[in-house]
Amino acid sequence: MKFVRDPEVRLTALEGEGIVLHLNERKYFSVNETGLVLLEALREPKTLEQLVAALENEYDVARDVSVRTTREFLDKCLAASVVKAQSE
Amino acid sequence: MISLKIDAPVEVESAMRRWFFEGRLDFDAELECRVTVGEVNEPVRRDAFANQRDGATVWLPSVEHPTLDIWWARHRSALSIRNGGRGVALVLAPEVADDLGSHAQWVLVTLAALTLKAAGRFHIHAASTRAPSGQGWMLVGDSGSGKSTTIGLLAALGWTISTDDVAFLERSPEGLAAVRGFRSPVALRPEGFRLLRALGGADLGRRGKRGFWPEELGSRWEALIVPDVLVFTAIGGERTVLEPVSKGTALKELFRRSFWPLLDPSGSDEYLGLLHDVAARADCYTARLAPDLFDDPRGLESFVPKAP
Repeated sequence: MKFVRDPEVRLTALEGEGIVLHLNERKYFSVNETGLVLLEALREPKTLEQLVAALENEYDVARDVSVRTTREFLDKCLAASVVKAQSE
Repeated sequence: MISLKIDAPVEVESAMRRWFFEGRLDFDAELECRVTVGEVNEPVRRDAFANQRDGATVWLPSVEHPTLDIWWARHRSALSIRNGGRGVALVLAPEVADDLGSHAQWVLVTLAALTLKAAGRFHIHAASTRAPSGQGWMLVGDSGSGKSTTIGLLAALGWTISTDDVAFLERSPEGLAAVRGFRSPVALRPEGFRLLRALGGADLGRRGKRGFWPEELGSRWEALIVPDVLVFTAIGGERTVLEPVSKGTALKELFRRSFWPLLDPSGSDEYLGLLHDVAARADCYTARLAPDLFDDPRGLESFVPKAP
C-alpha cells in the first residue's frame, strides 16, 4: 500500500508552520513541522516505511515514536481526504 | 479599468457604478452582472454543502447546480455566480436596492471578492497605511479590533491611507505582494471621531459610525502598499502592547481573513503565494490596542525596531 497527497491539496508554509487547503473539500488545516515533512514526502507515492524514513531523516527520534507519529498523521490525512491510499 | 456590464434598474446600476468608481480599483477586469429587484425566498437547492457566514447561507457548486449560491435571509437577497465570476445574477430586496450604498459591505464586497480574483486581485479583510518614513503597514483583525480607529489616528498624523477595511492582495509591478486599498471613508466610532476632533464625515448608519475620507482627516489616499510591517490587532488592556509573532502563525492568521477560498477556490494557488510572501517579507506582530494609543498614536511605530 502506498499513500499520496490528493492533487487538489495545496500547501504553503513558513518557519515550520503551514496551511493545507483542500480545493475540492473546501476545507483547510494548519500543520506543524512534522506534518510538513510528511506532506512534502507525500508529493510522490510512499509506503508507510518510506514515510517513517523521511521523518527519521529529519529528526533524531526513537523508532516507535516515528512510526506512531507517522501512522497518526496518515490516519488524520486519510480521514480528511488530504491523502489517498493506492494499491502498489 | 474595470469594465462593468450591469443589467439592472437604472438606480441600482448607478449605485453600483458609483461604488466601484469611488473605490478606484484601477486595473483591467470584467464584471457582468444582472440585477433583479424583488422578494426572494430561500433557494430550493438542498443538494450541496451549506454553511453560514455573515448571516448568509451558501451553497457550493455541484454537478447538478454549477452555480455558487448565496442567500442572505436577513436581507431577503441572493447572489448566484458561476465559477470564474462570469454571469453573476443578483436579486435584491427593494429596501436593499433603494439604499445599496448602506448595504455595500455585505453585497458588493462579496460580489467583488468572488469576481475580481479572476483579474489577480484577491480580497482580504485588512487595513493598510504608510508611515511618513515610507514604511508600509498592513493591519489585520476582526471587525471591532481597532483597525479603523488606528488608521484614523495615523491619518491625522500624516500617514497615507490605502484602506481601513476592504483590501485586495496582488503582485506589484516589482513582483512583490502588495495591498490594494478600496478607497472608501474610514469608518470611525463616536469616541474615535470625537477624540480626533474630526469635522464633517457622513453617517454610515452602522452603530453610530461616521465615514471620513482620508483628506478630511488630513491624509491622502494611496492605491498600493507593500507591507513592511504586518500587525494583527485586538483591543483591550490599559497600555498598547506590540509583540512579535512567528511568520508561520502570521501566515495562518492571514489565511483566516479571507472567506472566498472555501467558497470558490479558483485562484487559491496564487493567493497562497501572496499570503506567503506578505508574511515572509514583513516584520510580524500582534497588537493589543489600548486607550493610550489616542494620546500618542506614534507609540505604535515606536515599538517596531528600525532597520539599521
